[in-house]
Amino acid sequence: MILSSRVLGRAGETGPNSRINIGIVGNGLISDGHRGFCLTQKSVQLIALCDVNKQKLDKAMGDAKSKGITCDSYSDSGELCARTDLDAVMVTTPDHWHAAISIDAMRHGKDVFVEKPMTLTIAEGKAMCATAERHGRIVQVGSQQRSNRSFRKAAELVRNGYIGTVHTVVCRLGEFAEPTQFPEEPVPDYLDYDRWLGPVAWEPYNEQRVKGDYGGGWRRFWEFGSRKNGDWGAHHFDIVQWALGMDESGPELFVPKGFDGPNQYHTYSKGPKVIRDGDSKGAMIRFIGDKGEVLVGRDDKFETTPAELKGMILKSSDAHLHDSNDHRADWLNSIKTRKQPICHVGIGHRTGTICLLSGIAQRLGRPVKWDPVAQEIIGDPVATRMMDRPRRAGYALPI
Amino acid sequence: MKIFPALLLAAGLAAPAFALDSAALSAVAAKFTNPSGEAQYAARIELNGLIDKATAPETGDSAAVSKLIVLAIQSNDTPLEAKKYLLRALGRIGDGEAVAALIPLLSDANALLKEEARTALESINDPKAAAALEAALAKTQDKRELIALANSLASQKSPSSVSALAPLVINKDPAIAKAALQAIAKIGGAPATETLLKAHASSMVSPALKPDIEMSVLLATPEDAKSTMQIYQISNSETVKSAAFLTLMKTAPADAKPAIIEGALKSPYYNLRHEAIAAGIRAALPSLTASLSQNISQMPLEDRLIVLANIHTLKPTDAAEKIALSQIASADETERIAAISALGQIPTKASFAALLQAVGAREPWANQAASAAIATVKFPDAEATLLTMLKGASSPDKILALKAIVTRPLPEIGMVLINIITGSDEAAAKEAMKSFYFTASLDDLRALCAEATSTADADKKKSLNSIASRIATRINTEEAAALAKSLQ
Repeated sequence: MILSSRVLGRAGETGPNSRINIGIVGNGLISDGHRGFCLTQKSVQLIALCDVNKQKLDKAMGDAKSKGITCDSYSDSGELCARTDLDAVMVTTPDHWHAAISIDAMRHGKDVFVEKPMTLTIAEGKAMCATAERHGRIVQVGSQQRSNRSFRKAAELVRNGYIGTVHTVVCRLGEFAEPTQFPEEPVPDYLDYDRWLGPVAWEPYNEQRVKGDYGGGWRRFWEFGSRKNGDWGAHHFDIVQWALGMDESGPELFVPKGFDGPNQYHTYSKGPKVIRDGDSKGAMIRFIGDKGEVLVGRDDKFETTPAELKGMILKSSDAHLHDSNDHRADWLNSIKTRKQPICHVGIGHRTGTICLLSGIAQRLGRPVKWDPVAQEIIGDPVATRMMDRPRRAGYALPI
Repeated sequence: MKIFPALLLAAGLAAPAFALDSAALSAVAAKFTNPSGEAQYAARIELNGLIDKATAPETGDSAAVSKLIVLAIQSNDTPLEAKKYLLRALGRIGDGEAVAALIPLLSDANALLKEEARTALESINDPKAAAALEAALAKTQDKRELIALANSLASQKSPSSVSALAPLVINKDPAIAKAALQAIAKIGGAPATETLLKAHASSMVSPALKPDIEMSVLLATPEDAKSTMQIYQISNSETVKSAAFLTLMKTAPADAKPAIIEGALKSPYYNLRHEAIAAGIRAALPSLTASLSQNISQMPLEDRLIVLANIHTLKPTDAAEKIALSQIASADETERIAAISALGQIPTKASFAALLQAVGAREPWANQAASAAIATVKFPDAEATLLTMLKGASSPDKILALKAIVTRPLPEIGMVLINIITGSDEAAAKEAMKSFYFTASLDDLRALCAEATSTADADKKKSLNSIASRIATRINTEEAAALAKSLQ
C-alpha cells in the first residue's frame, strides 16, 4: 500500500511516509532528467507515469523498473491526477498540454512542476495563476537558469545597479526552420494521436510534427508551442525579468523581426530594449549598462566589465535574490514548507507572456502594445483575440 | 491609452494601409487546391498575411474583411481546405455581422466545417454569437456536440446562457453534466450561483457530482462570502474545503475569521490545516500562539515546517523568536534549515547570536543556510556585533565572525583582517586568510601589499605575500596582478 505523505505522523514525529509521491505526465526527451531525479531522491517516491505514446511510456517504465521502482502506468493524465495518494505532478508534455494538466492536478490538490514555457496562451497563464491561488498550490516552472549560480550573480549585479542604468539587453535565442505542411501519414498504433493533439485544432498526423526534437519537431509549430520565443525565451527573457526586478510586471512594446530593423525586440517603459539575437558577444545574455556590462551563459560563462564585479560580494543592504542551486530540489523544499519556489506560477506567467506576445507580434507582422498592469493588449482587437485560442471539442480547460 | 496606434503611426511603427478585395482573396483561396503540402502551407501564410495586414489597427478595416471572408465561405468555388482557414480567420477578426453566415455551418454535414464554425463563433465577441451557440445547444442530443457547445458558451460568458445550460446539469452522462457545470461557473454571477446551489440540493443530481458543483459555486461568485461559507460548511471534499477556506480568508468579515481559522486548525485535512496554521500565525491568533510556544515539538514534523515557514510574520516578535529558536537544534535537516531561515527573518539579538552559532556548525548545509541568513538579516546591530567579535579576545567568537563576514562583508575591514592574519592566534589567522580571500576588494589588496612591503618580519611578509597572490588571482584585473607581482 502506498501512503500519501499527507497521512499524519504521530505527535512530534515524521509521518509514516515522509516521502513525496510524484507522478510524471509526458515521457519524452525532457523528462529523462526529471525521472532520473525522482528515482534517486530519498525524499521522493515516483509512483505513476503517463504518456499517450506507449513506446515512450514503456521505455520510462522500464527505466524505473531497472532502478527497482515499480510505477503504475496511465495513458490518461486525468486518471493519474485523480489518484488520492499522489502529492505532486511533473508536467513534461509539449506546451499545448501544460495548462490543462497542471490545472487538473492543482484542482485535485497536487503541487506541480511544469516545463517551460508555462502555457501556450496568455489566457491559460492567467487561469493557472488563479487556480494555484484558489487551491494554495505550489507551482515551479522549469526555467531552471534561475537555479544556476552564474545567472543569479548576473541578475544580482544588474538588479543592484553595479553596471549602472541598463539600456540594452541582448538575448541569443536562435531560429527553427519555418513551419510547413507535411503530408498525412498513418497514425502509429502506439500513439493516441487524438489525445496527443488535445485542445489543438485537428491536423493530419505526420511524425515530423509530433516528434520531440530540440532542433524542431513539435517545437517548430505555432499550434503546439511558441517556437524559439518560448523554447529559449522562457529561459533568457526570464533572467532579464529577474534582473530588472520585473517579475510582477513586464515590457510594454513588442516589435517583430523585420518591422523596425533586422531584430525582434521588446521594451520596458522605464527600462531597457531587449533585443533578440543581436550582438551578444558569445554570451546567452548580454546586459549593457552605462557603467559596465555583464555577459552570462550556461557552463558557468560569466564575465563582467569592469572585471572586478565578477568576484564582488553583495552588501547586506543590496537585494539578494532567491538562492537555489537545484531547481527541482527547490520545488521539493517548497512542497514541504509551502513557501513559494524560485520560479513560481506568477513568474512563469509573466515570463510566458513575453514569449507569447513576441510570437503574436511575429505572426501578425506588426508591433503589439501591452499594458502589464491590466494585462491587456492595447488598441489591437485582432491581437487581443490571440491571447486565447479556441479549444477542440472535449478538451476545455478544466476549472 | 487607445491613442497607441496613432503614436505608432507617428513613430513610423504602424503597418501601412492595405485594403483586401475579393479577387485577391479568391486568388489565394484557389492556391489551396494545390496538392503539395508546401504550397498549401504557403497559401495559409499568404492568406493570414493578407488578412492581418488588412485588419491592422488604425489602417485596417476588420468589418470589411469580415464581410469578404463570409462571402468566400458561402461560395461553392472556395475549396474546403481554404474554408477551414477562412473560418479560423473569422474567429480572429469576425464581428456580429458574420454570425448569421456561421449558423447554418453548425449543422453542416462536414464535421470539419461544423467544428471550425463553432470555434469561430466561440471567439466572436458579440451577443449574437452566444445566442447562436445557445440555439444550437437546444437542438442537439449528441454528447460531443453538447460538450463542445457548453465549452464555447463558457468562453462567451453571456449571462443569458445560464438558463440554457441549467438542464444539462442533471444530465445522466457525467461528462455532459460537468461541462455544463464548468460553463455556468465560468459565466459566473448571482444567477449562476443560484442555479448551482439549486442543483446541489436536487435529488436528481448524482452525489458524485457534488464536489464539482461546490467548486463551481466558489468560482461563480468568489466575492460572495455567504455562498462560500455555505460551501465550506457542507462540503466533504478536502480540495473544495481548502479552496473555500482560502477564499474566506479574503472575503469573510474580519470578526468572523478567527473562528473559521480555529475550526480549520482542528481539521484532519492536511492542506486545510496547513492553510489554517499560516493564516493563524499571520493573524496572531492568541490560542495558536500559546499552543505553538508550549507544544510545537509535539506537532507532526509536516506541521512544524509550515509553522517555521510562516513564524516570522507572527507578532509579537519575541514569541516568533522563541518558537524558531526552539527548533534550531532539530535532528531533521529540513526542519533545522527552516528554523535557521526563519531566524534570518527575525531581526533580534538572540536570533543573530543563534545564526552565528549555526555558521560554525559542523554540518555544511546548516552552515550554508546560516551564511545565507546572515547576509540579509535586518538586525540593526549586526555590523557592530561582528566588529566587536573580530576585535575581541575570544578566539571562537573571532572565528565565527570571520565566517559570517564572508556573506556579510563589513566596510573598511581590511586592516582588521590583516592584523588577525599577522597576529598570534593561529586558528583565527587561518580563518581570516579564508575570509580575506573571499571578500577583499582592490583597495584591500593595496593595503595588504603596502603592509607586506613595509613589514620587517619575514614570516609575516611571507604569509601576506601568499594571500595577496591568491586575492589578485580572484580579482583578476591587470592592477591586481601588478600589485601581487610587485611583492615577489
